[in-house]
Amino acid sequence: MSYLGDLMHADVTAPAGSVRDSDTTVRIESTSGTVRVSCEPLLPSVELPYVKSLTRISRFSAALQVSGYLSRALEHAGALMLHASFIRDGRLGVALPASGGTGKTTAARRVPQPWSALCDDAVLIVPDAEGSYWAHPWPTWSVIFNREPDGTWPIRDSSPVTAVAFIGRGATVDLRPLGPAAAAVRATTSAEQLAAGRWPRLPEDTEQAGRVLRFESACSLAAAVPSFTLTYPRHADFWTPLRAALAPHLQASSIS
Amino acid sequence: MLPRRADHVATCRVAGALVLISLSAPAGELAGDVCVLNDTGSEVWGLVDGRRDMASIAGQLAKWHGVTADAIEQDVAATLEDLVSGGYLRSDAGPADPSPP
Repeated sequence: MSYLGDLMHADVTAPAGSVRDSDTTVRIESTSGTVRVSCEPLLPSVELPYVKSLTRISRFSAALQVSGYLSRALEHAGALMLHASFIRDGRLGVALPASGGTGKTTAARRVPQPWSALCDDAVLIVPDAEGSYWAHPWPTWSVIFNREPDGTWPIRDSSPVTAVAFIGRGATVDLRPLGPAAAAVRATTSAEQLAAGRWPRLPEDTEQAGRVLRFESACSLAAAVPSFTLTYPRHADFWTPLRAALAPHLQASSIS
Repeated sequence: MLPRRADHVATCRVAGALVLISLSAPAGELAGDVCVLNDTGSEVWGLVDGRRDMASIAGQLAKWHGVTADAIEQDVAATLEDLVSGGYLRSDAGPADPSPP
């Protein structure tokens, strides 16, 4: 699983590695023909077929599925994976959820200094004990599969989450506040977009429990973090109005 | 119409609003619709217990709001129909006729 560790820029070591969250330990054990992943009692363990010859597809498939299992385990710690890119500037961090092909990667590539991208396809949003939210990057699997440059991100990197802005294309730059309930709906949809394509499949009752966890986490996130809808023409500056809109929120969080 | 909450529906309060999600889709497919209920919808949802029929729900709401049941029955019926069509409620025919054949 050193391959997965490389993709995540993290220490995921074989043959008996583990990834620890404060309350969650995921064990990854590699044998001759399988990779066994477990996080009991939160999740049933699974055994993934694994071709020792390490063909690229086999290696990719195993890493993808282990990461899918990891993300499920993290949901039990209150984490929520959004189908989103994430941009930041110092303590300002904004998740930009969107469906596939609607500008996440482009937005992440276009922001000028001092902005930078934390990730461009999937972001793990994690609450802390003080009620603040932190974003961690997650691999861009499609890019890794296609052997394009990039696609890997250091998952231990993090940024405070100042806001969530649901992006889309529009004729002009249009940034509007989104109420918490509507934001909860859209955050749930974004999380389900990723979860629907996630492997390995776990027993149906476990999958359903995961949906409830994601729904509750999306509702909590929407209640705690300001949300917006943001539409803009493909080549427009969207970050300047975003920064202006978020300045009051940033000051408020600095004071607290 | 005897409405009852569908299995696999989860609810959450967000800033006072009630958000529903239908979890009936099989694993690997997107979860069903997510919706936000307005105040009346939330009250209707709260009164759906599998025992009250539409008239009873309208009667209780009328009492709370100091209006006649006739005045709100149409709204209640429309809300229940929306929730049924969205998969959040099931609509049973009502108690079986106790009279012998």
